[in-house]
Amino acid sequence: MKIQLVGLGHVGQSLIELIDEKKELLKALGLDLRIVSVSDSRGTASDERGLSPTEILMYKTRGWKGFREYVEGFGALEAVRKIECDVTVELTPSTLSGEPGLSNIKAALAAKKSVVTANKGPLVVAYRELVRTAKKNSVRLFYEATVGAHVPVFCMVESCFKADELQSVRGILNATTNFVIGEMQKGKNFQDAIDEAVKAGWAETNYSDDVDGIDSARKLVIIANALFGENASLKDVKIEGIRHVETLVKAARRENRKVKLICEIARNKDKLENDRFAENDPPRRRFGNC
Amino acid sequence: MTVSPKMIRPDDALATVNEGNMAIKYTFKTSKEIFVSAQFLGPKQTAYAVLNDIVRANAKSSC
Repeated sequence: MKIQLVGLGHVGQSLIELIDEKKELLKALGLDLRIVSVSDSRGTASDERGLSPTEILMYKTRGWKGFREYVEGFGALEAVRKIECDVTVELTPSTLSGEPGLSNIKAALAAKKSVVTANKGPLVVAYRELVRTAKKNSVRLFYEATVGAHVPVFCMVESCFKADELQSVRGILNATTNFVIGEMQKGKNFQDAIDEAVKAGWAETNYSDDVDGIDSARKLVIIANALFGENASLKDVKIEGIRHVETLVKAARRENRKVKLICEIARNKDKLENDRFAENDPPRRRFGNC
Repeated sequence: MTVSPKMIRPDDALATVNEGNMAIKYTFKTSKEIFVSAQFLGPKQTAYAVLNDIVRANAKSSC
């Protein structure tokens, strides 16, 4: 299988390490993976015979100096459109507009390539459109990594609970805020807890999306659209972050309780009934990625 | 749909989710409550989920 990677940040580089580390296991699973291109924000390295994972990581660290396969200015979108492969792996950062991931995913699906992504942005902005395009082009869209990293979500519900009806989901979907609140429950104030999270590697220096609940809300929107058949966007989520959580934490300590940033969604029966009537397609079964 | 800080009881499964970890409680009509919790250590876990999807993309069957 020929794959191309778009986005070489922490997740992209970890993926390349994993592909190298698990190459024997992947072969045993019948998967002969060839990375035919990798694109970062500056350019693209490509080789239809397959790039070496070790070399990709080494030359990326060196700013691609001396790597003949790397062409500066050969952008990700162009690479998605021009390079032949079976699967495009889209791992650019998540943004409110969904870009650049949204254009990359649309281009890949239009080129009849299946897409695997960990990028929440495009799915929050255009879930239905992307699922429909994938179906129309007889390719597949996988996005398990968008919610809760390796916590089983979409595939588990689709594969293990086909004959059941999901009524609600309640969860802790952001590790950074869980760490910060945990530190506050030990007695730290919000700023000290954030500083500790950054120091321990749990938070980026720009932590707004996490502490303001935006990251959690994006995940909830994807769950709503994929598992509940909604057509939701961020504006449909009532969001409260954790910047002003100190009073609640103190009250919880007095009552021997815990504070968590909780994401909740329950089946909207009226809306789903209308939806079902309109499309004659039970929403529960309208999974996009499987 | 809501995202908000909530005070929860110690016997709520979500109260047991340690710092830096994530968890989801699903409620189904027949199967009732299913609770999944996972230790999150960083980008390697996300990358693993991506790799697993690549394996699924290669498979002929769905999941």
